[in-house]
Amino acid sequence: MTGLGITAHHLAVHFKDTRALDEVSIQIEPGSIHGLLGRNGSGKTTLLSTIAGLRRPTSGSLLVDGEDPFESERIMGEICLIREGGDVLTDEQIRINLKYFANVRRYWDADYAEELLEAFELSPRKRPDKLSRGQRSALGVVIGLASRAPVTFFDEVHLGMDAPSRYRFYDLLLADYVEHPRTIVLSSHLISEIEQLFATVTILDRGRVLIHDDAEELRSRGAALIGPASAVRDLVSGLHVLSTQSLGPTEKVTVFGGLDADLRHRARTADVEIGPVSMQDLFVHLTSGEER
Amino acid sequence: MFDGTEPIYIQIADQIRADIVSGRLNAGDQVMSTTQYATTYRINPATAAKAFAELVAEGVLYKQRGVGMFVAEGAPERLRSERREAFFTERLDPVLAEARLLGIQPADLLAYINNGGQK
Amino acid sequence: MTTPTTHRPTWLTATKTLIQAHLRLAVWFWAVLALILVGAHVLMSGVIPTRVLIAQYGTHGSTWFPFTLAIIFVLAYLPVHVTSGMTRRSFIRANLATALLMGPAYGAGLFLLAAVERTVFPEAPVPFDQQQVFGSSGLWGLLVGQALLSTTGIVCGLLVGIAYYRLHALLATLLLIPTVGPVLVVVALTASDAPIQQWLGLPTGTGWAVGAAAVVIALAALAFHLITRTIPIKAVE
Repeated sequence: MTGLGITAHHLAVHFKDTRALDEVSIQIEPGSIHGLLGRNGSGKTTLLSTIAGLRRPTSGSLLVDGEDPFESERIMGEICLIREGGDVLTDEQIRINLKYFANVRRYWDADYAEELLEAFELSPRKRPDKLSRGQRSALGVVIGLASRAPVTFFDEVHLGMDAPSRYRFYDLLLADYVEHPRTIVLSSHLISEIEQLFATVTILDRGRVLIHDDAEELRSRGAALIGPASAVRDLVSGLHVLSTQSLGPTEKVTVFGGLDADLRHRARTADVEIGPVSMQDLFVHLTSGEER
Repeated sequence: MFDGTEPIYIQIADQIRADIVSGRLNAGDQVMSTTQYATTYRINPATAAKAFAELVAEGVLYKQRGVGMFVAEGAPERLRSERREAFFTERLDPVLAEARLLGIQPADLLAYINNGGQK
Repeated sequence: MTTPTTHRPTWLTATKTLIQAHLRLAVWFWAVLALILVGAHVLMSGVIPTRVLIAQYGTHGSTWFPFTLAIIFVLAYLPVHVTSGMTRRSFIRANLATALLMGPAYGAGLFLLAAVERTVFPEAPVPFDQQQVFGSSGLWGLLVGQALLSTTGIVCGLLVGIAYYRLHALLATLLLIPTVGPVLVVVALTASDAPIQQWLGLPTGTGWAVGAAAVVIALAALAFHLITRTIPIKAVE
């Protein structure tokens, strides 16, 4: 098995006074690493929770491996959602928690779980409620990786970890993904460290899908044009401009899409440099519209 | 690492080509596996695999089942000759254009080259 | 990917976990109860003659202690259960199975304590004046009566816990009347003066009391099922 595919079609989740998700149509390929990006409150957690069967959608369809996950014995057992800081027996020692997960998780690898505890320097005798935020996140990572679920979600877990732990997480995740391919979704609003892990990306904004694309494709659509102000302005007219920065006579304009060969050629002759834009920058510019 | 405008897999392929041209990798040498490459540079294994697939298709690398990937016989020479051709159009033309702009005469350039890179 | 390591239905696994959690604390409960029993006899010896079986007063603890545990466990295990990829259906089944096993276990615990006390103090009569089910057939009545009370206690604990999880705290507090109510109803149903049966004009026999108590438990269990079967698992605070 190499992970299960996920298809959402016009998916909506409405709460009493908010539309947490609206018209969400996405497809996540089985066995791929998917980046789910969005600002706080954009609906990332609601989307992952709904896919994992934690709540029922208000409308629309949602299929995991061709089946509605809500209350499906088969599908729910194939999904592992790791939420930051949550979903452990907080006043039981870590070793008791791991025993619990070993009993209920279909593909649990106990030896690997032990290895991971050591890698993150977590003592099996500690209780989760006595751990720091970073250690608690690391415990989530241990559970998420050792569960070896065909569909694994890490919902902002790396945010609470310090840099060395985060890099350990990325390395362990990649190494295990190569050996046990599965569908992995990483959600975050801080992506500069992990954007190169994604094969595909979804950007959510206020509960709606802003971008759902191949990561490489998304990256190639962003560009920064730097050069004489008038030349730059001339080049970008008609393009989707994300930001403009004036540096005296020089201007830096970040655009999204529309960079064809002709434009590149014109830029070269007009002495305008075209540079890359990181996915993090693209994401920030694309979602920084009017304040909510 | 990988900060150009080009797709990452193209940057990876370019880097391996550069290593072969410079002699860091010789014909018959084993290159990193997709897995090693992905974990070393923290990139998606599929991206690394795409780069390697391109190099295999070009005949720069060849795959030996269960062992790994190696630099093909003749690949260094072939890459160097390709680069030689590209050198004039891709590298030298912009330099000459710049020289024209700055009013540097062809004679000055020739003198510089003949001196081995000194005025 | 490796093949699944467990083939056992998840509700059975979950039941085992819950029973273990209940038993770990029930053992302490019974130990404390036994100590109190011995202490009471030591204190009273020579002061007043032992006129009743003291064990029967353990009925309150045996009803409300597992009730409290049920509240704690339903709140602790629900999010972990569902986020671990198990259905609410299996959670409901596991909790009701646990109630059906642990309720009688509390009945048996009290029965054993009373039986031991009876052996040591054979002269202590068993008036059980409050409880017709308890008094109906000596110690065996105690077993059945307490099993019913503890089972109701646990199911009501589930109801209270799930109400606080699903609803606003204020609403859940108001709902304590229907969520704790079944325990009081079963206490009344099994009482020797049978107030409910008298009021409704029903027969007052022990068999009727047991049957009516079983119906109340079934209704409370149904309520728990209905509230829990589609419950959304909340975001982590």
